[in-house]
Amino acid sequence: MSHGSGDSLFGTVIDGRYRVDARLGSGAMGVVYRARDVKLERETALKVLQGASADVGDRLRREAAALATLRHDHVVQVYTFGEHEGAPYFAMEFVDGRALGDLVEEHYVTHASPVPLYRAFQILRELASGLTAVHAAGLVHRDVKPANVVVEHRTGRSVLVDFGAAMLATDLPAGPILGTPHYLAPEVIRGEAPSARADIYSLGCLAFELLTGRMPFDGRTMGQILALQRDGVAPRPSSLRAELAPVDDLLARMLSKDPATRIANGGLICHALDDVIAGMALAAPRLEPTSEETMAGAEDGLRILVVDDDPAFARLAARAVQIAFAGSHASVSRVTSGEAALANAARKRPDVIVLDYVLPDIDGVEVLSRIRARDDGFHPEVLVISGALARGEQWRFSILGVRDFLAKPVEFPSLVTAVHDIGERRGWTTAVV
Amino acid sequence: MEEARRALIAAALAALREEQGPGLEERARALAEVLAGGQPLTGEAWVSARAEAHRLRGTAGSYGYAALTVAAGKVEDALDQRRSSPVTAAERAALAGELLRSIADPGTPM
Repeated sequence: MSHGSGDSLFGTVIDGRYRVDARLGSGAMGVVYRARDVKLERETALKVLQGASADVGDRLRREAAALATLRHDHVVQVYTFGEHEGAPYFAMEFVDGRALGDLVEEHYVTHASPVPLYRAFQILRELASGLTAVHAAGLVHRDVKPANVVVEHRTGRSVLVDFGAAMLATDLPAGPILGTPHYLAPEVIRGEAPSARADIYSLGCLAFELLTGRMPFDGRTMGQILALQRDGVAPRPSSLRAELAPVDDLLARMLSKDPATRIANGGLICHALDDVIAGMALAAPRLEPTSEETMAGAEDGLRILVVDDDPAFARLAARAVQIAFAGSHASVSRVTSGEAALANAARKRPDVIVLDYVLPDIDGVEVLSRIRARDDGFHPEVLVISGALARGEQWRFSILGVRDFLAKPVEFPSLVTAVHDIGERRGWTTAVV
Repeated sequence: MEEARRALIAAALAALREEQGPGLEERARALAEVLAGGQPLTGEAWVSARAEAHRLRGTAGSYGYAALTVAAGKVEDALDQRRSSPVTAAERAALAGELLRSIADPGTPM
């Protein structure tokens, strides 16, 4: 088999197990494909080395072996490692979503709108937590940047991917510089061996960009960027966005030039972010009567939450849900505010949330940001329905992993179909719609 | 089967219109009264009228009241565009009139 062309594997079944379906991208060390694991019937990502020297092949093997020991929600999972006609490959979790780098650009560049603060802090917390696990396994990622983070559709979890540059921390040469200049730690630029603290610095650069839309250090040439990484002083984030004052010190510690004085690990970052996030707690939810529609036998059935500040629309949506899930034993709750939605979600853990964007207290993005922040495996399906979508505002929900939208006014049959399709995707529906 | 599905959904929407239609019409009348009244549309009154127009715009059409959605949309847009310089009495009267006409002849459900 030739590995000279990136698409030469298309349609190939590797090891009688992985059918290569599409090319996802390529990096310095190989090409990543989406492949179907025909034995386990699941999507996987397949990283295949092209024209690999023995040295690179060995590096990949070490990467795979180390990563295979890791199990963490915010770190891509490696399944297996192998060789196909002399080309090393490894199979890993396929994270269906969008790169954080694209989402950041969409917010700041395309729409001149900052990433919502609560959501941004949660993403940083997730990545800090993931990095803690990476470092505990003796690995250094060496290329932490938004392009190497995927925000998963449906769950909204952020996942650190592409450990192409990762190597066992005990086996780090001070050889060629790997990584991306905007995110490179000063000591790495000076030629020192990368350490876990270099990843912390890179995460600090990512955090600065996620929170402000700007790099802490930028320049017209690579030389300028590297010089600033080495010697420059980053602006305080609050000088660009006043509400970031609570994280000024944290980012300064993450971006410390001296690894010895840099914040030591991801766990400490999580702690610091927990304090900041706790300060953003909402007031106790207003007590609001919740309308309930329960189908026969729904006690153990599906739970659906409809959130809309217009009770007449909520009634319509609830009826659509009933039709879509007829025969599936579903109960539908209706609330008219964001805070009531949070209270209901905490209490009932709905399987599906039909969510309005414009609400009288906190908007739908904020509601879902807080629901996505739960760290207990609660990942409801979400259908966003809003008049704002007619003005092209669905991008606001991309960073939360949402991909089911309907613009108001909706056609009732389309609403029934949209809910039904979500149920069908998850194997929940039995109704003939 | 497709025909049965369409019939089921159409019957459900008809029942919903019967249940919720009078309330939507009443809300449109109330919004028209606010617009036609002499009270200044600033501060809380602006927020309240704009929110109700937004809600009616999204909901009415979903029940098949297309004309009401259009009329409420004009109210919302007018209030959005003229927040700093309040909508004139003549504009308000015209918007109120369109709201009332939209419920007098709601049209065929979508």
